[in-house]
Amino acid sequence: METTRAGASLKSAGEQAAAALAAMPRRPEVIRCPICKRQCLSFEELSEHYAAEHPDSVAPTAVTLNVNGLNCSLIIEPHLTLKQVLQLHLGLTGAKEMCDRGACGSCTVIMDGNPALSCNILASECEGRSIETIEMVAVMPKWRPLIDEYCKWDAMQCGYCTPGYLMAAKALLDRNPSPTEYEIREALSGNICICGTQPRHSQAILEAVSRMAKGETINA
Amino acid sequence: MPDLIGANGQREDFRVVGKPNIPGLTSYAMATGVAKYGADFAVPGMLFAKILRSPYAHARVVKIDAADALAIPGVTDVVLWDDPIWSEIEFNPIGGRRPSYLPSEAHQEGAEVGAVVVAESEALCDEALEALKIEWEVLPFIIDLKKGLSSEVPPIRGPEWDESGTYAPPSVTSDGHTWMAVHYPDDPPKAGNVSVTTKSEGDLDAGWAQADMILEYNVNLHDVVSLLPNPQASVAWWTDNMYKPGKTLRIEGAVGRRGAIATMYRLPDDNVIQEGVFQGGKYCDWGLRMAQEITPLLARRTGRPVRCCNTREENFDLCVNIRLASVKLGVTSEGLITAVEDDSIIDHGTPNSSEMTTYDRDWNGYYTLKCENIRQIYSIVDSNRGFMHTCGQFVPYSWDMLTIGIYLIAERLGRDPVDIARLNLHGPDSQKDTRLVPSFEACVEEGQRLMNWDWHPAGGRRLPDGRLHGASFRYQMCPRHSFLKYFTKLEYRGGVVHFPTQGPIAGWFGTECFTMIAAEELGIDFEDICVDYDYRAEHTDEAGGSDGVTGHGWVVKECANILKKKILEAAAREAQETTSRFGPMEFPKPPSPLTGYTAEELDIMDGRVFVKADPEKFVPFAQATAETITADYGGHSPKSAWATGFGRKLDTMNTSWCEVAVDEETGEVEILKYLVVADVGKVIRRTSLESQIDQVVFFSQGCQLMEEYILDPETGVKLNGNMLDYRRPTTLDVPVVDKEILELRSGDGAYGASGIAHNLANSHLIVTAIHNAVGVWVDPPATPDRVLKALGKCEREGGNQ
Amino acid sequence: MRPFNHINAASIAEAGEALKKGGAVAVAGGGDLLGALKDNIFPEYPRTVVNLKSIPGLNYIKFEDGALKLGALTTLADIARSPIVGEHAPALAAAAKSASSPALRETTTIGGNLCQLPRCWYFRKLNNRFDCARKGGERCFALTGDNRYHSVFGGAGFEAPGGQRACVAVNQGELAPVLIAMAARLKTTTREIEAFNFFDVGVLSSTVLEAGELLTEIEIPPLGFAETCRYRRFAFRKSIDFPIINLSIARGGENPNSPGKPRWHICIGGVAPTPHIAKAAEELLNVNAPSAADLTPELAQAAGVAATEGARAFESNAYKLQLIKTLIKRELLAMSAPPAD
Repeated sequence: METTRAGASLKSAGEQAAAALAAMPRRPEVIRCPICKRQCLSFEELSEHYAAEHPDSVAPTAVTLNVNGLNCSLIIEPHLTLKQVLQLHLGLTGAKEMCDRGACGSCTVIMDGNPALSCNILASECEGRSIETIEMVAVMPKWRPLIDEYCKWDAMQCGYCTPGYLMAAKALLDRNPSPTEYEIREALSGNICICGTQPRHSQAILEAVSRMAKGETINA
Repeated sequence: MPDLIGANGQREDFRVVGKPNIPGLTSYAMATGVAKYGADFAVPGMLFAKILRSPYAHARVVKIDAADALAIPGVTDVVLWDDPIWSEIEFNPIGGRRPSYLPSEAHQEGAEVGAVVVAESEALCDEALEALKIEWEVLPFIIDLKKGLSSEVPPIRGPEWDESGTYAPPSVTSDGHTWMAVHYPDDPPKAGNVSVTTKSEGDLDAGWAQADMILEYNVNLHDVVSLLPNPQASVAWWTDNMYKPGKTLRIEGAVGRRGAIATMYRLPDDNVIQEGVFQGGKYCDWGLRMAQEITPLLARRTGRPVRCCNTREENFDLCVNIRLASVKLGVTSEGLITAVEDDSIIDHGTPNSSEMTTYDRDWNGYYTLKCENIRQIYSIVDSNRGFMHTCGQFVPYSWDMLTIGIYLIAERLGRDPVDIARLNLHGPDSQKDTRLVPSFEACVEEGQRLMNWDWHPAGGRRLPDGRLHGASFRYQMCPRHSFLKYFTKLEYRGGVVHFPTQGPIAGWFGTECFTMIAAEELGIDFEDICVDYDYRAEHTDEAGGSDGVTGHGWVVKECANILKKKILEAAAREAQETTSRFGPMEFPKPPSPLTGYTAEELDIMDGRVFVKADPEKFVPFAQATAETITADYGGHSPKSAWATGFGRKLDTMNTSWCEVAVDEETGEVEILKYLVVADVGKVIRRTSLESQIDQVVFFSQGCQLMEEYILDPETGVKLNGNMLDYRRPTTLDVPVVDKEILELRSGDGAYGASGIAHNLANSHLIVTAIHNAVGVWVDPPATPDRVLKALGKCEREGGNQ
Repeated sequence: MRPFNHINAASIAEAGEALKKGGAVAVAGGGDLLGALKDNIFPEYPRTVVNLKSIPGLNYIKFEDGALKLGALTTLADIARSPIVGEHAPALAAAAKSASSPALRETTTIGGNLCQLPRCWYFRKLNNRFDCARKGGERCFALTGDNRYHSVFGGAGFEAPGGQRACVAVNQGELAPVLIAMAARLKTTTREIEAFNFFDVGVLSSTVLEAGELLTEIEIPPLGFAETCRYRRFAFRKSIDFPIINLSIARGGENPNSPGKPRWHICIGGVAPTPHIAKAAEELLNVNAPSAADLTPELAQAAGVAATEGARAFESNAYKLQLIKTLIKRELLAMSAPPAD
């Protein structure tokens, strides 16, 4: 049950994000056939099982993803997007699915330092890439002013698209720590907030930039 | 008991209410991605389900051969429409009834029909749907309402689809006005696909006779999609609970609708667990989708958790239906309206669609006029365009028919529309009241000042860059949901005030507003109140938007006062005790600073319970009493103008002002300035109030300049069911919205507050300003192609000037 | 999305081999293909998706022998940011920067942008709903349906029972007009062709690429076009949208009417099944405006009108002719303006 003492929730949100990061499986606990649930001892055995028992089905593939600095070895269906793998295999819910066609930015993560739309990237193509999600940003003291200002300025309403906006903002600030108002709107121009908070993000980010420039972080 | 009369205007000093920049209670959870919405839940071992969707605008499934689908490894189940299992589920009490839960007939392209597939992955569900061999009977459809009006068109829905609710008689308010009616008793029965209903007041003939001129115009309201942000989805599984008889259902994703799910599965509420509180934006779209309702059924059938998640295109439900209004106004040479006739063709949508657009007759702008001769004739046409859930945020409630009428009178007479509006607006109390409305006057004064308002006739001003300049103005009353009855419970426990609420959290920061009000009344800080999000709590934050918050906020204020009184009584009582008990033992107790005072002599402020006459005598609020004290209160505020007045009473008003530039050579429209001057009565939570104004202007911009629901004329198939081709404005498109908030304290929510949200969404202010720029009318959405067409710049042969 | 097998190709040869087998499609940035797969628009759902991004050596921007060379896997964001492109072909950088949205530009590639399938909403409708000419069907549904975004210069012809018919889907690629105006050459695994010819095909594919053939390099030769080229796009939103119309105007090479002077190139996207070369406008300018200084407002206006020569719009898309006239006129006037200091 969620119990919220007013004003105390940055800490608890950070703790929940840290817990989600800690719970990311580094390798599958049990390898099971996704079709018949038979348990296999290795990926190789699973592949053999597929060839023998499900020859007409698409076999799962093995991939190692570097997510938030951790290498996670996964066995996934080849068609899964990065967004789906983050949720279904790694338990990270921060990248959200809204349009599922690269037209809304809600699923934004940072890949090799650049913003990337995780709904539009196959996870099986991400081996060797460094992937960063909102959960990581949530636990980094450096970025707390950004999250804090978003919350202070209500740069969110229902909150569903918000992590995507924050990742786009973080990617911008990584590259350009003191952006102009126009540069901010440009960097966020691939994100759609259905609640219509579009005009509110610049102010939150500019306030955060000024706090971050002073080296301020929030102790949570 | 709480002071039910006059409490609204009494408080002068505010410590908490009205403050900006207080983070939302769940904002950090939302920002950091740990907030889980329906689609975010994943349960080990779960199966996935997908519902077959109709590729036709109107069709019936005759036969489905599922053998190939079932032969696909990993496909576990295909449930057809005629499976007896569907009788195990009741219809959603807040939805409509269908001939059967999963129908065999689809009334729009994309409608759920005929079959549900269940598989080990979503991809295998897609594979299974592809493998179904379906025999369709394709049926005639209506997507063009004007064609649908014809008596030649055979009925598109059989009697089994006729919704009984449609023909219910209207409700009558305490002061005798009808409202929320779809049909009136004298209306003729439905003929073919059309039901005609007429609401007539006053004496139209007399009104036309008084007029010096007749003004006729059309306002075409197009249909708009709600685009709920999160995929509507649910995951459900059944468990045994040693403390409860029977099976317990755990469902995530039907947020805010636990009761409905319990009813559908014939369970006591207690046997339904739903811990998630994040609902995602709803914009008054309250319906549950089939994907959110069927997972318990499939979970019971398969014995495993089941997830069902709609895609974006499957979530393409309407939030405004088409309305084609032909309006006729009788007007005197001074600009006074003497008669109004509104003859509208309205989309009835697919079966069970919301009839919010039809309620327009009752909640509308015409009743703000001194003119009492008003006739509204609605021809409501059944169609296969789309489904609209109980919905209302974008429905302009005829305000825009009037906004445009006032503008056109001004154009005709060469007068400022502000003056025409003032001339026609009745006084605060009734249509016969001839006084000025103070709230309107205050808003207009600020608006004219901030805009440097300098009216020009259509086509009368060109900007230095060559574009044409247009400006527009509109007024509206601020709405509120105060006709509903609200419930609130507060508890003082262990020295802390708890506010249990089930949410849901959908974006309007209602719980934050309520917490601010409670803190204000209790003399403590916002941070001192512990909000317990608990699906079992009775309090639900479902009032909706700022308008609901203000009505509901009044109830919270009363509840907080009851709690305060009880705390002071307990504190005074405990202060008299000379001993305290621990089990069977009794100890002497030192005297309290409050000893000897009655509850009436005490007060609470700044975290202290103190003696009013001697504030140095106090105990910390956390030690006011060892008792657990509960206060609850249900009700609504003493007067509620939106429910009884619908424009006939005018307390809190708002005005919007807009300036545009139109490029005649490209059809591009730029919003140069957008100002909202709103008398919200009293600001409760400033930042979210401002955010809601941003929101509704964003909605308006989308509806008026970009958003269009496009169906193929030949097949009725949706052509732009995605977020690339259905356009919402980006950060580079939205204007800066200037806001000037006034607080005249004459609303009927807490402290005289009133709402803001509904009334500015989808306002025709922008297209009115376009007319003022170019002198021709452009039906929304005023995309460049439509603007150029209206300007006559669409030569079809190349090589011509 | 329905299941498919997936190969991370390690070499051009491996990718080519895999793609030659039936039922395989290539993916680079994924901006186009993944949507098409999710929408299930292919008459035959592919059995295998071949990832090209895993092929080394196809992601580069270099300036060699006066020519600008870009590997087919170079992302739009890299092109937009590249100082080399900014110096030698600024309009290409501008076009790359205006495509889609910031995050998508980081993954989508120049090759993918050139090879994308049409955006026609009949072609793209879920589950292959419309069996249209581009899918081997006998009709173009847009011809009689909602064609507000479709061709104003006729369609791509195809044979159907009852005679010749046309598909009116348009090429809406962001980069095609600018590359054609710059006289770019496209290198594939088997040939080298002029940019325009890359798109000059019938209805069953959107490029000349054959099964197993891959686009490898885009080369912009030193003919002067790249330096003078300008790019302008028109869309309903300032981000995310595909262009409704985009166009490029450049001057370079040899003017047939005025020796020693450069010739004009004008290419317009979003108006025809292939990027449209505005020949009449080019000729008008070649004759009357050997130098940019010769551009008068009247000439700019006339060139805009000439750019619509041969067009026959539908009622719903006639606005595009007005846009062509206006955008060409404005771009030419901007070119004639003396450069700001």
